[in-house]
Amino acid sequence: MFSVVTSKPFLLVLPLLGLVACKESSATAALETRVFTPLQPPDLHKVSSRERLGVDAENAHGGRGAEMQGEGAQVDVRQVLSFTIPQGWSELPPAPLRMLNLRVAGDPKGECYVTFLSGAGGGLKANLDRWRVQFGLAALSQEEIDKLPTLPMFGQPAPWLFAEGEFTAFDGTKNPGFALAGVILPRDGQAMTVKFTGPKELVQRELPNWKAFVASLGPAKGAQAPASRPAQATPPVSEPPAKSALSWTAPAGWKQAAARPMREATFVPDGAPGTECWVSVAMGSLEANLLRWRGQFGKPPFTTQELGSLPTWNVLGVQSRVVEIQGTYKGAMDGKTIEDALMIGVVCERSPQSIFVRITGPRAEVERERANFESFCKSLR
Amino acid sequence: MFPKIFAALSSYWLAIACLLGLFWLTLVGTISQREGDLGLYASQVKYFESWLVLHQVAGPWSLGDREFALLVPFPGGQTLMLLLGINLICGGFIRFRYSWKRIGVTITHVGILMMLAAGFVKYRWGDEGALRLWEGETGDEYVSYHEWEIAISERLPEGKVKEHLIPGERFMRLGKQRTATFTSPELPFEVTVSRVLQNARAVAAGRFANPDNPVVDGVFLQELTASASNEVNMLGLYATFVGKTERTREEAILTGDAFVPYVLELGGKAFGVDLRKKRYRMPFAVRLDRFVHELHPRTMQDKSFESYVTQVMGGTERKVHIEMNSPLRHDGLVLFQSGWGPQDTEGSGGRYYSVFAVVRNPSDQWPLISCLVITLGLLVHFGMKLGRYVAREFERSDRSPEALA
Repeated sequence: MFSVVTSKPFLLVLPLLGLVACKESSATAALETRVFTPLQPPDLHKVSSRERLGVDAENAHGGRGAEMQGEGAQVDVRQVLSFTIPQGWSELPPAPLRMLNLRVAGDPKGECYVTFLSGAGGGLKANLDRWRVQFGLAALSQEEIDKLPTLPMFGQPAPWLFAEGEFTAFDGTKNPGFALAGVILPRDGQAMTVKFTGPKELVQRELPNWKAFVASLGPAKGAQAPASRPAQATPPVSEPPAKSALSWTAPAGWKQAAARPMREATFVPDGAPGTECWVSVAMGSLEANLLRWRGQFGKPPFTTQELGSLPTWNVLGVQSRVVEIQGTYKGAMDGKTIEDALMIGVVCERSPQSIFVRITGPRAEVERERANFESFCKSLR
Repeated sequence: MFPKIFAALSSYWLAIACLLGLFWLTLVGTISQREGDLGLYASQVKYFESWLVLHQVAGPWSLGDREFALLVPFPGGQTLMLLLGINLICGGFIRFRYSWKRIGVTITHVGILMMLAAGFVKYRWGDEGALRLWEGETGDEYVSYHEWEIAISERLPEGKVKEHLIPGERFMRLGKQRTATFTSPELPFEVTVSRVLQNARAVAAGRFANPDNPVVDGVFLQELTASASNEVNMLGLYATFVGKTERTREEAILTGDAFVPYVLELGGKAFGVDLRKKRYRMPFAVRLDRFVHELHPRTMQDKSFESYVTQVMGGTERKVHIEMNSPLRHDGLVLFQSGWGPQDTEGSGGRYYSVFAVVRNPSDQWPLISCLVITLGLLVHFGMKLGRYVAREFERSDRSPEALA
């Protein structure tokens, strides 16, 4: 045995064994311990991975680091958007929080990216102010925001701004002589932004290309541009688009609007131009969605008792919670506020994805459509 | 042979070479943060906390699928500072010819050596992190900027908690291929760590997701490109827990930004498992009573920001005002005012939070003392020189023909 161990061939093989060991074997070691009295005892209640990691589909990530990392939808951008990249621009590998990440005219100092923001990050003013703060500029008043020029984006006018000066990047780097062109399209309490920063000469030179890029943004291939106003809704159809796995019977007088990202279908009732009803399929939890919906009305989250006492409807064979929220609605897709609004929402919790149906608009209009909405929800199959 | 080595180690030339080398490292280390893709943390590690630096002087050039660059080896910061310290000891103390006339130079050498020692002590035994407190909130732990750990916590009677800690250096470099298993006689299970991703996010396995790592409980880890700003990278890994006696097996995804710990119930006990930035406990607690900030007129640029806190220690309380250049110092810990938020308090009920940079530095005051020692040494040295010069001049004037006449 000894001779085998000391033989030359074995000694030659020994380092290789070491390499293999480094690659695959595991090391066992004792742990350090400490005992102390914490200010707050640890929460040792078991929750699902999704809840623990703050994961849902609409806001794919929002854990402890969300404040540091921001928010963004974790999706394949071409499944959601269509766009044309300008000549001379190139697509960069995906980056955190950026649906689409572009290099401008080969200049590494110029960057342009598309971001999808949800929740508190989606406000028009909040985003415009954040951009201006990065240039050390004062926040805009509502009157100034109303006067901002617009660009067509998703077929709708989206306000945009130009800023120049010393640009402070997220990592604190100061960039004198920089400029920013940014456009934001608020939608359903969320927002899509296209931000272009770089040396001022580059931004000014590439501004026409950037505007063309913004104008090229639209729903993914196969979907139509959304209607900018409910009045432009397409004629009524009683069956959903082919891509949806769901089907339903639309109430008489409801017109189906053009397809929109993240929605299975959108309807506008006749004679209720400010009201729309839509169906979405996502992985958001009941609590996460109700929190967002309540937030769109400036309401605090439901208490556990309130959640437990919500009425239910039978939708797709599941007893689904029905939520009604009244007040001032700030989640409209065009960013406008609806005073005295009413939202009725149904959350059909299914695995792995849940179905959400909502109708929102002026209270009088939604009250009139209440029975239609209920029958529509119960017709889902 | 030895005298030659000693002569080389104690030579002026070595001192000059080390100082020039440190100057060059400072230059390229700083430039690489801005012009390169390294970022602050990676730059520090590469240039200042290393024995050898491979500095890229040209390239990269692409040849097919491969990239080439011209790399030049250079002594790292640790090597140069060690050599400088040895040089100082050999040249300034051992080889030095002591005399009262040179006492000032000796004192100055002691001061410089103290400065180097202060840096080493801080690097070896110091730590730093951040403490964020909302107004009204109390904290007694600060969180490292870069170091990670896995904490397995269990509740004890009387409100106490026991934490079993796996330091980050024991699993951070495992990568996607290797695994490591940790245990303790006090735990009824072993934990095996695998697929350690330096920057990752948890993603729901749904219609938009294309899992590139195993799906656990409907969630998988998606690897992201690591940022040059290391502090924003979010570590993620897969953990497997195997019971020692019950032979149960559970899998979990751990990320640095989970809302709550993963909870493992075994042997009638509940254990919380949390991947988190390393936490350091302070010997006292700090409560943020009030945060005040002021902006420059008509801008969003900070003019000043300051925190009014209460230091709580063993039943006694002390009011402290922390602002820029006026930190809280206690027991080797220094709390500097470093940040605040949120910019918009609409969603926080008008409350602000304040961020303190916390540094535990056993050699906190050594640089100050070393500067004083160096000043004293130079004063003594040049004072004695001046004294001798004046004495000589007096002597000369006493011997001059005019004086003799």
